[in-house]
Amino acid sequence: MELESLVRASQKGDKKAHGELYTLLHRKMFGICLRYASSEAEAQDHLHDGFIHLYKNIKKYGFQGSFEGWARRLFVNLILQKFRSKKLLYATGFEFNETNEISYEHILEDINAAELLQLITELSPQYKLIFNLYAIEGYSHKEIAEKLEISEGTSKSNLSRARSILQAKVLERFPQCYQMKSNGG
Amino acid sequence: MGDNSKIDKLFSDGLNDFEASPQSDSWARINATMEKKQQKKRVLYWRWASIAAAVVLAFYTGYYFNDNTTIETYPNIQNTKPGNSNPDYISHEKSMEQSKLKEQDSKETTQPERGAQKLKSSPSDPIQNSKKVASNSSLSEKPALKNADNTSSASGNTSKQTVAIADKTSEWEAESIVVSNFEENSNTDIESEEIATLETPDQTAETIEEPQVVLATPEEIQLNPSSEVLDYAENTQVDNSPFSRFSISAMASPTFPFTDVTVNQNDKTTEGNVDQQTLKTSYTYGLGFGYRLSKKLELHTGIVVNNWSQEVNGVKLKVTQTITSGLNTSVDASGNISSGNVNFTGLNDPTNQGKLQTANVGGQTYSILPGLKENYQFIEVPLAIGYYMIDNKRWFVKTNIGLNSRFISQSKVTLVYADGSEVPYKNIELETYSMQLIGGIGAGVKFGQHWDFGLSPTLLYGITQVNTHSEIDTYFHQVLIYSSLSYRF
Repeated sequence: MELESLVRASQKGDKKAHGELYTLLHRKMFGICLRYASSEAEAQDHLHDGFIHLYKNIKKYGFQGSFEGWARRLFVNLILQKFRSKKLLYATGFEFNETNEISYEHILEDINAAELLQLITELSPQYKLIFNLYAIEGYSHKEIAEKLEISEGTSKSNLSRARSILQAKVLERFPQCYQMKSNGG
Repeated sequence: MGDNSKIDKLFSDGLNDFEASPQSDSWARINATMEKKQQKKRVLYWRWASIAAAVVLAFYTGYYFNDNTTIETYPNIQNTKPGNSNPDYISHEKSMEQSKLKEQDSKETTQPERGAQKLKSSPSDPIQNSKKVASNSSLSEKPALKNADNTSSASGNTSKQTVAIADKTSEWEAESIVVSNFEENSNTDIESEEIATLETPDQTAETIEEPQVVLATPEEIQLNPSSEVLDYAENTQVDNSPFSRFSISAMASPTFPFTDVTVNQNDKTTEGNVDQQTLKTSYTYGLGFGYRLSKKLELHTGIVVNNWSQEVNGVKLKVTQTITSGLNTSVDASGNISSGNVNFTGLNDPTNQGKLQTANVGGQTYSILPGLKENYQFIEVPLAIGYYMIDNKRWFVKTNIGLNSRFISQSKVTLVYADGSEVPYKNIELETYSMQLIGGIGAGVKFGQHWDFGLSPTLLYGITQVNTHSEIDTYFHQVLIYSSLSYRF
């Protein structure tokens, strides 16, 4: 069944279509959930709640833009809503100003997605959230501030801190990528 | 490209299309939740349908009772169609007649028609015949058509009609009352030709064709109009005393809850999953509105704030054993790694900082939450029918039964840890709507024309799931003793 007809069937409450949509999307959505979660169990809950939320709101999808993109935003927004209710976000006074030049060109050859995920997961919830939204989802600080009901400054400071922690972890695990400017890059 | 952008790109390229497989039972869980929600939706439809049906029934019942509590204006005889008559009465009269016929049969040898027999007997002794009317009146309490029926039976197909007619208007009215009474109690038709047509004196005079018609005097009929009216009122027990239609009440009650805390309700090994449960008495208060549908029935509604709270000790939380990587594992007070998360409401316990003790119950690992404090406040709209068993000038006794719609407005849940720290828990998911049965019996005293004070013990029975998405579910019902001060108008 084509995706469009699958979505239309799902909009009418077709359970079989629900199942097929799950089969189609669940791996990608679980990847998103893992990025935002502190644990696999929490990601499982995000996935569960996300699909329930998706089926509940699928009638609102107007076939403008890709369904996968719509579903992805739905999942992210639901996760943001959960974070908001926990009120775990706060401003940090730390501003990361790394002056050393780091070469990441070959990191992807040496590091797999699971290891990158591991690095993100080790971040505290607020850093992880803002780094995900800014670096991977592509939201601006203004959008993040609106969605999380925080100031842009808080968003920036959290992002900066997240980056610094991630850089430190990358260099710690992949020291071959670390090149001092003095060595000529 | 700056470092910031580079590290962003590193993670973006690496994780933007990252995919992973969840647990194999994920779909089964989602499907089960969807089914549950569908069922709840269906239940909700039934609830609203029940409310609608209850309201319609209440109004219909009220209309019905209201319609029958007023004494009808005694109808003018002209508006009375004597096409209906009481079968018992007819039977009695006919049996009397038949016995009389038997007597006559023994005396007279040739009487081809029963009507002819009657015709002979009726005019022969009209006064006696009229007295029979009175006599039968006391026996059957439905004497009015006696003459008419008697006569009509006697007339048969010969149109020889005998009608007892009062020649004064007042007496005529008295008879009409009885006719009205008779008609009120009748439920079978008698063919029109068998019944004398009862009309006004003038009209009757015009319709009488034969000289055999006997006009009985009021004295002969021996009906007492006033006593008949009294009997009528007493026999039907119609209370026509006035009552106030509307009432507004201030209500308050202590709230005695009976609860059941269920932890990990899908896990059958977790019975006795709390060590101690302490129910806290709370208070309920609100405004009530009443509409008196009839002398006996009253429709109640209102808006009530209902508080309920409890404290639970030693809550066993199921530990989720799904973490195999080193993600966010936490260490309990004994130094054991307890798989990272206490899955309290489907999210992480926000205070999972290694404070929970683990325990093994029935082969399952649990983290023990030392304390849980719950406080809920509901907004409720009851809808009930009250039936006045006793209602006099001084006091009343009334039963109530109905439905209560509950909307959760506020919750305060606090987790208590072994070190005494208390942490608010905000991620509880509440059932947004539930319905309960309410019922009770109460009594009250009246002050003056408008005021009354009542006490009404009420059982409020039904489940409210105060945490719908969690390892801990709390159900409860309540007993209330409402005291109410009402103003009626």
